[in-house]
This record gives sequence, structure tokens and C-alpha cells, in this order.
Amino acid sequence: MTRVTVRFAGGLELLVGGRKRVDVHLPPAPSATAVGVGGGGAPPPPPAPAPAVVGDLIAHVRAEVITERHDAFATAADAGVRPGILVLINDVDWELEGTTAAALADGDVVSFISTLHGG
Amino acid sequence: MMVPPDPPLAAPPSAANGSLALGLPPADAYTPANLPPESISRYSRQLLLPVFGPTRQIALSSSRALIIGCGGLGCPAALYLGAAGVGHLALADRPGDVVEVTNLHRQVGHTTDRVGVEKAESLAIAVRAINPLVNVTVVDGSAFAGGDRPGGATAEALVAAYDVVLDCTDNVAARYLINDACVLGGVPLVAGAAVGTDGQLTVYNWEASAVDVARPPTGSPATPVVGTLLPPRKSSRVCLRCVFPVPPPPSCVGSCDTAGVLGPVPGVIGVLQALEAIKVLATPAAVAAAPDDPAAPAPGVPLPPSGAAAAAGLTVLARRMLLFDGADGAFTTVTLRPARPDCAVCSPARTVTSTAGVDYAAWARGKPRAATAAPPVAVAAEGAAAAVPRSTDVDTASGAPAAPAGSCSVVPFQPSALPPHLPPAWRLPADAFAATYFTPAGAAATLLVDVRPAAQYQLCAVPGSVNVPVDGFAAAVPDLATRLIGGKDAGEGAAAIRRMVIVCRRGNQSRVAVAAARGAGVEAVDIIGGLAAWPGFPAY
Ligand SMILES: [Zn+2]
Repeated sequence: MTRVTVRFAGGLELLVGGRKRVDVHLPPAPSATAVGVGGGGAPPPPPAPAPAVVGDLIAHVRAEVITERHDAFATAADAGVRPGILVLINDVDWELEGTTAAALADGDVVSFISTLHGG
Repeated sequence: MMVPPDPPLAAPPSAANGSLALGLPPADAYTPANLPPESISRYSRQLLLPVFGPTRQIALSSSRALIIGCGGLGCPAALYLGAAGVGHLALADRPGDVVEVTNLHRQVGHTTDRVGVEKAESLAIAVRAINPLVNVTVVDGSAFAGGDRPGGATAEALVAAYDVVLDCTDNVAARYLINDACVLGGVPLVAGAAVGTDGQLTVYNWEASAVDVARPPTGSPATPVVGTLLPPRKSSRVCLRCVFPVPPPPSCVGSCDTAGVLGPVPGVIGVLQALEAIKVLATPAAVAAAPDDPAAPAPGVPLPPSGAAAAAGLTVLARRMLLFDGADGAFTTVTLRPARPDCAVCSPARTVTSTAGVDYAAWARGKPRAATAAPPVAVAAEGAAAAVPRSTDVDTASGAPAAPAGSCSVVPFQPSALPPHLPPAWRLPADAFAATYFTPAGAAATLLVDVRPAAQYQLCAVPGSVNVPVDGFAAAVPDLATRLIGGKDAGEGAAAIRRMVIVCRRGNQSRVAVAAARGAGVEAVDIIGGLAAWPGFPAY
């Protein structure tokens, strides 16, 4: 379980009922739970949980946090987010952190910011 | 031992005549050649500032700035840049874009008595009134608003005449066009945006110094930009396409015209655009260093100066983005990625080498090849789509619901998202319908359904109309249909048959609703042009 804070801005907060900050408890990645099913002999040492990554968070947010217009956040087929959303990990562009593969730690703040074009 | 006091001095002459009468030199004998006495007085409070001072004032006063868009961002940006004493301030907007009453709550360079005046002209009047030392000119903004004019200069040729460009426009197509023009023309770009209570600001095409983008330590190792085999670039000179290679779906783009905006929000961002432009312009060329990136703009294009401003205490907001949350009163500045190795316009692998011939409006609608895209005939027929795109037209063309602030619907990139084309028999002219509606017989025979968002309906509505926002309209058709055949409000002996007439703000969403109603067997009709065409209905 990884506890991260998710920020929504630039209008994306409207997809989550107007909330700008949502605390998310990210379940362990599937790869972590799938390990250790071997039988017999001494029980295997508990597997080191695979760290959750931002890609997991996006899928989780789309499925569990977004309440409407899910494709305005990310399409189901897409690994990332829709064009025009800036993703920040602790206020740093996620391109500097490995995008969807960036590992998450407890307390991280991941921001999803829709770029604005009005004036 | 006491020092005797100095004898009292004569009062200094306060006027030129006085100094001449005393045989003293004129006032300009005391100031640098390019900082005349009137500038010393006018700019004294910024000249006194150690990080600014006379050197930067002289650089600013000999520089040229272009502001594109004379609205909520462009007004404060122009007023502050002009007041600070930029040498030449050029103002561009779409030809024919005039000051409207709905602009005045935020576009503070315009006045009530200049409603109807071209915005660039109106703003030029305001800047000249503040500072007659600035050379203020109005330039034709057609080249930045969509199409090329046959024989006209390209956007990159136009911007190349300036030392900085401020993007104060309000739509996606113009923003990508201006970005490309500034990259190709070798001009730094101060890009601001605001909708609702949110604002964003960054400086593109300007070399960020190491100081500018010092990263906070994180647990994750830095990884090169993914998705490319090209080597990372040394340049920190990023452009809009480096950060957002693909434009957002039109349905996810909010505009001030449809989503609303609190006036001070673009005001804050526009003022900060002026500040960033002053920092860029006040970097004297003598101390500017050339960047080391072999991938920088086209050969022969002079490169903007790099991080010299930072070295002297003024740090340009390059490769960083400022986010303003006006609802919470919070500013955040975030670090952006470095230049994208495969950027379509600023990398060695560029595919965009000129803005000429690129249909940015079509591209912003998700249709890269304009020739293969069906023209929005139905929209054009209503006169909504002029040759010059504006944000409302983009929204209209996308068929996006006129939803509340910045919200998104899920119909991106589909030409089918255009409002359906209805046969003429299904459509009524607003003026003729309004005349019959306000008769007892007409009102009784009509169920007028207003499909605008609830917030707009609460703002102003036709008496007797009912509000069913278009998002939920299809589901509500069966219930509405029961009212057509003489519901409880039909009254004893009243005509049992009522006609469903659907109206929206501009006559686009009403067509979507009519199609839905007809699909459910209700012979609804809609109002051409919507409430915007309704005689006497308040404009908003
Ligand atoms: Zn670029």
C-alpha cells in the first residue's frame, strides 16, 4: 500500500467533484502479489513488494477516483494521460522521473494539471 | 576642535531657464546620452533598484516587444510594459475584434466609451496615455490568428522583428502557431493563460540557466525523455511542443467566453507576463552568452541571450511553469523537462520548418491534414466560423457542450462531434418564433426547452421555458414527451398538442437535442442561432 496525494488543477478537479487534493491508498502492484505461490518445503521469504509506479496510479485514479468523463483524464487503452495534461511528481515534470514507470513512495504528491489556453 | 559649519548653499535651480540664466548646462548634460532627463524622473523608482538600474533601463528602452492578443492578458501586460518604458510596443489582435461590454470586467486597458473600437487601437490609446515616451504601434494580427494571407509575411518573419513576444491569445491554434513562429524566428516567448480561477505562465525559447532549474532532490533517478532513440539535448531552451507535443482534445479546452473567468486572474498572469518580458528585455546584449546547443533554431537566426539575467539576480521563468490557483490564493512553480530530442519544431529532427501552409486551426481540432477533413459546413452556414479562429469557434466546431468552467466532455477528435445538420423544416428563426411565443396562444402551444447549463439558465432565461441541460437531455425526453400531450399544466380545454421547441446559447447544442428528441419520436424543432439571436435577450 502506497499512500500518495493526488492534486487536480486546471479544470481536472471537475472530474472528481471539485476536489483539488485527494489522498490515495494505492494497492500493491499485481506483480508483488503474484510472487510467492510456490509450495512445499520452507515457506518462501515474503517477497519484497514491487513499488507502485505512476502508471498504476493513473489506472487507479481513472477507475476509482474520477467520477465522470473518464476519457477526459485518460483513455482506457492509453498508458498515460490524454494530451494537454502536465503530470508532476513532487512538482517536477514526470518526464524527468521516468513518466509512467516512475516509482512512487509514501508521501509523494502527484499533480495532474490541464494546460490552459484562455486569456 | 570644532569644525565650522559650511556656509549655506544657494538653492539649486529647478528649471532649465534657471540653470541657463545662471550659466549652468541644461538638464541632459547630467545624464547618459540614452537616458534623457525625463526618463530619469519617470523611471526613477525602478532605476533605484539595484538589480535593475540604468543599464537595464537603457536596454529595455531600446528593445521591441510584441503583444499578441489585447484581452484579459494583453491589457495588463501592455499597461505595465508600456509604463516601464519598453522602447517599442507593438499590439496585435484579430482584425475586427472590437471591445465589447463583456470584456470590460477584466480587459482593463479598454473603457466603456471605447466599446466598438478595435481592441489593439483601444489598448494603444491607453498605453500612450500612460507613457508618451513609448513608441506604440498597432499591427495586423491576421498572421497569428490562423490562415496565411496570400503574399503576406509569415508569422515567423513578423515576430523576428521583435526582441520578445507575449502570447496573450485565447485559443490552442494561435498558441501553437505563435510558438512555432517564435522558435523559427529565434524570439523568446512569454506565454500566459487563464481560465476561471486558474492561471499558468512560462517563458519558452529562452535558455534556462542551471540556477533556473535547480531540481529538488527526489528519490527517483533522473531518466532521459522516454519514447525516443535520439540523444538528450544539451539545450534547456524548451518550447510549447517540447512540453505538450500534442494539443488537447477540443472538448477539453475551456475558454473565458464559455467557462467564465474572474477578472483579476488573467490580470495577475498578464502582469507577470510583463515582469518576465522586462527581465528578458533588460538583459543587455553585451552580457548575453550564446547557448551551446547544436539543436537550436534555424541557421542564421540570432539566438536570444541566455542566462545572463539570472547571473545578475533576475531569473527568467524558463523551463519552469508558474501555476496560479486564484480560488485558493496559491502560487506553485514547477520544473519542466529539458528540450525534447524529437521536438517537431525546435529539435534537429524538426518537421515544422515554416508556419506557412500549416492549418493550425484544423490541427488543434485533431485533424492534422486539413485537406482530408470535412469542412464544418453547418457551422460556417451560421456565420460562426470566420476565417479567423477564436476560442468560441473552436468550441463550436467541436460540438463540445457549453459546459461549466473548463470541464471536459468525451468527444475528442471526432468529426462526428459537430452538431448535426438539420433540415430547414426542423429549425425556426429566433425573431419570428419570439414574436409568436409571446402571445397567449403561442405560449400555450409551445413547450420551450432550454438546454444550456443550469448556471447560464439561472443567469437569464425566457419566461416559461424549462431547463434541461443537454448532457441529460436524451434521458429526459420521455418525461418531456408526457408534457406534450396535455400534462397537468396544459389546463382544461387548452390545446392538447404542444410543440417542443429547443433553444440553447448559440444554436449548436439545440441541434444535438433536436436530433435526440427526434430519435425518440418527438418532433422537436430548434431556434437558429439560439438565444444569441433572440431579439432583446441579454448578451453574455
Ligand atoms: Zn520544442
